[in-house]
Amino acid sequence: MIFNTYWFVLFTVVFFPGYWLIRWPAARGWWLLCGCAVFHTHFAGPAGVVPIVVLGALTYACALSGNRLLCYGAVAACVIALVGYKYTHFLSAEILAAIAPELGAKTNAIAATWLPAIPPLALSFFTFEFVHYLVDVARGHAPIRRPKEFALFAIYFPSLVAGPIKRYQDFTAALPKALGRVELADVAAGAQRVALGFCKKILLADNLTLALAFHEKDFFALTAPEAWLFLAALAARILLDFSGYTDIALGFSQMLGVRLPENFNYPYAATGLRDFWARWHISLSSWIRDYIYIPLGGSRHGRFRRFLNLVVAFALCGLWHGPAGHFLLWGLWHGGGLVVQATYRTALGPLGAKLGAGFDRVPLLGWLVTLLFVAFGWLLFFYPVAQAWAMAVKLLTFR
Amino acid sequence: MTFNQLKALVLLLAIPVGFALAVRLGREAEGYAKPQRFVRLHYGISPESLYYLPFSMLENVALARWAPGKTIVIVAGNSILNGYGQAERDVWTLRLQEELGDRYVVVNLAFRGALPYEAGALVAESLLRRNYPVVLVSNTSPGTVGRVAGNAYGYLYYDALYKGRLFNHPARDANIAEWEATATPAVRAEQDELRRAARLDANLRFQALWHHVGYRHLFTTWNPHTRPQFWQARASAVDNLPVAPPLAERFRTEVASELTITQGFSVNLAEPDGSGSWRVLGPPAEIVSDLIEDMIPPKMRRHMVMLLTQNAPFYRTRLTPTELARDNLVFSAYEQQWRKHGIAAHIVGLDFTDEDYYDRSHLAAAGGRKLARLTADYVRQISPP
Repeated sequence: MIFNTYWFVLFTVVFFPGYWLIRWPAARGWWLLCGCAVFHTHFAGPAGVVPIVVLGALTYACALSGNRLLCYGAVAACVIALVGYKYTHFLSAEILAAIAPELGAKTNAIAATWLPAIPPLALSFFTFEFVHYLVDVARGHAPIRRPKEFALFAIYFPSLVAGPIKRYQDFTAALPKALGRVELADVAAGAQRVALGFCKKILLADNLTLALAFHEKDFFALTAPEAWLFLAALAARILLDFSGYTDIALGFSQMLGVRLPENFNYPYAATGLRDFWARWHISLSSWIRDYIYIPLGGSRHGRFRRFLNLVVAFALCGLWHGPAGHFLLWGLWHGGGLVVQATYRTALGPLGAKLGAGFDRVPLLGWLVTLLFVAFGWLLFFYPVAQAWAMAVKLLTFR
Repeated sequence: MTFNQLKALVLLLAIPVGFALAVRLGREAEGYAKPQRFVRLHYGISPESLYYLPFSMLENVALARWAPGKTIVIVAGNSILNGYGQAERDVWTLRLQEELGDRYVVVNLAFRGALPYEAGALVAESLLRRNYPVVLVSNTSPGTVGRVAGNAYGYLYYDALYKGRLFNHPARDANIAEWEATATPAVRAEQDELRRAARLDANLRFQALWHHVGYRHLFTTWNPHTRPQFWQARASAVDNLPVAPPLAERFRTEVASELTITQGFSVNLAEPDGSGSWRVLGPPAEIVSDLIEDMIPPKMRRHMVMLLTQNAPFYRTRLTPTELARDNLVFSAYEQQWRKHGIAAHIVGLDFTDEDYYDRSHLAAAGGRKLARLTADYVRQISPP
């Protein structure tokens, strides 16, 4: 975690007082940009910065041209870069190799010679923000004219590592106000949010991580109640870890005077899967809705296309989390779940209607089913498919 | 000013005030002599259970029983000298204290898996630098020296270094810099972070405060050694290191792999000389020699006893005659290697029996008593009462 490194402590001590003490908005903007650049360069390294600078420059220039074709060309370049850096190994060694083993191995070997061992830091995040920006500009929104403003949008350090995925319209609207004047109340509220985030992350999530790592080795020797407790801890861990990180990001941003979009809204209180996705990683789910699901046709071409679009969008959402089969399946698990939620009332006939009425009458039932569905999904998220399956079987058979 | 603005101002002022108070408390905590009734470092007070004792805490332990006129015997080294395999009441350093008598204060600062000049050894260096009468007892196997930085207990080196506790030894700095230059970016980043932490702590003393709270009041990090009540103060953690079972139950598991390890003690350090005998390989011996020279300040060397700890007879008797000859040659050669640098080195364990060992390398209580008698002689030789 980048925010609890000593480097970041020193960065904070130098950067934040400087930001608050500078009164001239333009100078404050430059100070912020320098801070973001230092942060990004430190954690990504030169090899990680160069591709982002290239993609950023391309995105800025194409958007500024106002030419739709150029904008979509830049979108393609961003996506190709993402696929190239992050998914080449997965596509060649797992997908292509399953169809044509020799070709897969050859492609993988070639890719290994020219690709870095790990993709540039936060490449997926950059791609999502650049794609959002380019598509919105192509749809007629005004582009960011000033390079400094665009650079700040691109490498704004609080949201760089784990989001939330910003929308440039909101960010550019908030920025002049923040650079002009930082409210004392914002700094205080931001500091409280940062403290809350660190508590969630370090006191709770990190301890759960240690305990889970220890017990997962002997998961199959656990008693049934212990195994269910493990599942509950797994679900709690990811929420506390991710939302804790987001709290820290949002808090630091608020201390700079910029309010970033919320990413979580009590997701485990959801009474349905659709409700869950309106509360979990909100900036990602809304991005997927706006830039994958709706462009694919959304719900405009009949029920079959609607469900197909939903499944495709969630499959991509799964893959966004990492280039591995179990992430893809996790996405399909949720996509499939949403299709079932949307169809069971009619597809199951009178039984479905009764079930639906039951869920409507007793929201607690919907909450429980959703929670279980999501929790079992986390097995797929964290473990290889075979292991996740075996764990699920153990849990469901109470052995 | 509105109420909300006032509230915000109070909160923001409370942050630096609270921070300053924490620094003040950290400086106070640094002076406390803890742990009490200290025998050795066990799971409850060890980095193995994520309790990263600060250097000041180790120094306090070392000085807790010291009085003018007494010599402090710091026992560093690894799990063998830590007494792994002996019950707390039978730990060999308690016997060493009895053997040496009141003119000496024996403090067991051996960490499991530590290198011969690491962790507890740096406490001895710090005390000697402050002109305390000190003897350092440590142990190793032939061919092992290692660096003070870059290992599990490397944080203690930076902690001591940036608090100005160590001798100025440019060869050590240069060696570490050279090693870092060839390390992977991830290792370099890790070392940078350790240095930043130690530099900050040298001024702010957060480690002392945090570990004092963890020791006396509340710990916040889960770990398998102190579960399920991981939050309990580490002062209440009991020494539950394993104790040697009856002889009939020892040497029963992993015999083949342990025998391979025993063979490995000398396999890469000597080669056949063509006449049916062995000769010690030059390059590994030179590396050891360079590391001794670079890591251990010259002033420290004549205050050191280095024990080259032999393996249990159960395994040594299973070596072929040629392997045994190689083993003997290598141990003798490396004993001389340490002596060449002015360090009193001794091979121990050659005349021990299986009864004396808990497993291949660790000693049972009986072996601990023998080790205590031998070590007491070695200590008296370099620091007469």
